[in-house]
Amino acid sequence: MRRIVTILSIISFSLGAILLSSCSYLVEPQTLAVVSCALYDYDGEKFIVDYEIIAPAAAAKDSSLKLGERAGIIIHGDGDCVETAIANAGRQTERLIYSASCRARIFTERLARDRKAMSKMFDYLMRQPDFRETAVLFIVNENDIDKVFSADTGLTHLTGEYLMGLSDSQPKSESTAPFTTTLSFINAALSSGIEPVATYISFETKHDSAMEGSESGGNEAENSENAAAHFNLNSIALFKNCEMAGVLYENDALLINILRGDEKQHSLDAEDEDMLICFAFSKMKGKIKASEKDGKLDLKIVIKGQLNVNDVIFKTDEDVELSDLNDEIIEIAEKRLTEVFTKTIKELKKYDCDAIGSGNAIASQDYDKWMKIKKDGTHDFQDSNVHFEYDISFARIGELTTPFGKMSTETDTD
Amino acid sequence: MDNARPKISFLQGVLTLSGSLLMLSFYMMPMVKSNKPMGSNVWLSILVAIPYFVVFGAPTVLIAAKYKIESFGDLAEKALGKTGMKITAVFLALFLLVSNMVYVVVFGLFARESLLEGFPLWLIYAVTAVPIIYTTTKGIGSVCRMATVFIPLMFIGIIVFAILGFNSYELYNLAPSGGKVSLLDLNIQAILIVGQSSEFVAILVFNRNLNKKVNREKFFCVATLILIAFMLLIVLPTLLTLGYEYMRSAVNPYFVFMRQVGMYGDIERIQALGVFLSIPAFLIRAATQNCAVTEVLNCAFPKPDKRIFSVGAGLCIFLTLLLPTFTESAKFSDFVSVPYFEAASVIIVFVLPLILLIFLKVRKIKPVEETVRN
Repeated sequence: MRRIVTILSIISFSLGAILLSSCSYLVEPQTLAVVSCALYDYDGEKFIVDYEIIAPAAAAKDSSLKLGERAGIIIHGDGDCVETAIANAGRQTERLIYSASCRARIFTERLARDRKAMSKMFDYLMRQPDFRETAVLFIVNENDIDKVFSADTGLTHLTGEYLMGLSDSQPKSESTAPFTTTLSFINAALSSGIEPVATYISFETKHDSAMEGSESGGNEAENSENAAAHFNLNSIALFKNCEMAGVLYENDALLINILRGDEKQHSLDAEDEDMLICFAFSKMKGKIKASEKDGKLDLKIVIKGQLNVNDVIFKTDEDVELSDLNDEIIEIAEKRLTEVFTKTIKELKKYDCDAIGSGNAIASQDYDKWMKIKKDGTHDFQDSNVHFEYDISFARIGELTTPFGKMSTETDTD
Repeated sequence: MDNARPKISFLQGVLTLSGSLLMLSFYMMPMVKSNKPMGSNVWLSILVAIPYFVVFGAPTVLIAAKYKIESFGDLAEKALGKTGMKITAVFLALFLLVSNMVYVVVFGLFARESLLEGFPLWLIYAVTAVPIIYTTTKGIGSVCRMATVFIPLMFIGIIVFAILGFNSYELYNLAPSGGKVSLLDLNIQAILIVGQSSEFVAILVFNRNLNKKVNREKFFCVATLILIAFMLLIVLPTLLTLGYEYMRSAVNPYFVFMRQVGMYGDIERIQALGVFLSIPAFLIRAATQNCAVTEVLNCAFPKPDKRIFSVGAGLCIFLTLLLPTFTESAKFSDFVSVPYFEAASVIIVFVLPLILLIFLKVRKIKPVEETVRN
């Protein structure tokens, strides 16, 4: 009997968990203005906040909304400090602002370039009980603010949902954006051996194809008004001491993503005199080995990974078996990677931004040395020698063992 | 001898002890808030604490292993005389009362800052005081039986959070940080960790309630190992996720870690589940300590109904915590981060049982069972 009572108690106790909504506020959910995306700006005098608030009625009818229709409203507030700006934004809604469901947090470039303002912003946000660290952090140029909540959001109806969706799906396939969460950013900002990075948003304008084909599409001004802005997330914002230092584009983010363990797959093309090869790199991992040579910091970056050849286009008509070219292909791939990585390092050095975490590498290999470097202020990433070493294996992926073109139409019999 | 006193089994005892001692780490993680920053070595200091648990717990365990029948009052009286016993009992009761107060303050701070923002603090304390006092009046047997149900649930919760939180782990958070940590610093920190778990001295008080067949040495070692294992399961995932600096600044770092846990986009923001699992464990710890205060005071000033001490101790905590020092956030966060309390705790849990043990040895006091046989 006692055992039955115990089991029943455990079951009833566990069922009680269902009653928990995870909302820590003492307010009913229907009285909350749930933030999906937050945009923060600082114009040198005032903090500006734009919140995308989920409209519950529209969100509930999500499947019946047409493409491009919004399931949220935008509220705006500004003030001398972050708190006032948020309070002013709160006055525009009859509900209580609730940020614990915020999917994306966007800072403008001019805010990100102001260390003091960034500091104030994080200090305020991190003290809030509804602060959501898992929100993905983005940087946008202040001239593009208007486009953030009006740009195309694909199959979703909220900018926050769209950006979060991209951060879930993109790294699994091909992406050059780091999709750093707010927590990763804070972690790196508080760490002395690595600098934070964030995804940099830019916009590209594409004309609606239906409109282009229409007969009335002749008016240029009308066309530009109807053109939809699309998010372009192929860049990476670099930070130095919690202050934005610069932007890297496309392939430049590859090395940073590999060394931060965020890289899943990346395609590159390489060309030599005889052939053009389309590679896909996967399972890539990087490690930094730090030492001192001739009074300079020497960084050896070891890259491990799997090389998948998607296609080889021979410039001559030779019909060469791929298996005969393994070593040559790996050599070409390594050369191409070195080319890309060297350019990235050059860019990083330009901004003196240790986004690859060489400081952490030194600290974990020789902590005393790192302490000395830090104390003397001699962690000179700009002056360091960086070279690469590879451990790349060759693989043919997919469910075919023989390339389609090599398959025989008839079974060969003697 | 009191035949009606509750018998605590090995499992009940181990779960109550390890579960209760873990609660401070769950709500505050005092080991990351020490004056000397430990950086990512903080988890190492927990491992280094194992031998110190053995050393500082040795006098308590040796007394418990030899004198299984006697109450704390009987033993203290035989060793130190009646006046000595009363002084020791009052001193121990005060220590347990203050440490319980610190613990309830930690919970109050966490509840007000993270869970129930703007909620009146007196109401939080009142809501916690009622079940603590009620459970205490039911006795240590009921508390331990409750522990067998709720503490495993909390342990399972901690394991599940550690597994589900895997996606948010950043290995570079383990890179050395926070300044140079010497071997001496590491050992001092390990001793302070023992101080943060100093309520194991209550073993002396509940020893006679523990089943006679239970091997006291094994009981203490198993409880300590479980405590260390779960401390690591709390500290390591939090360190890997938040990094040392954020961990050090957060009111409740483990709660912040639980906030990050999610999987496949469907399981997210399940921190409320963690808090839900921890609240019964919080009550168990507070009630266990209140029971210990009741027992000790009852030894010094025997009363026919010892529930008067249970209610009195509970009300004493509740009323003291309403003082402005404890209701003002800035002041009470200072209060709970003072390392002197931890240092004093270590001395009390080691020195008090040691003095008792020395006097028992010097006076050659034999266990009650042996005396009866002879």
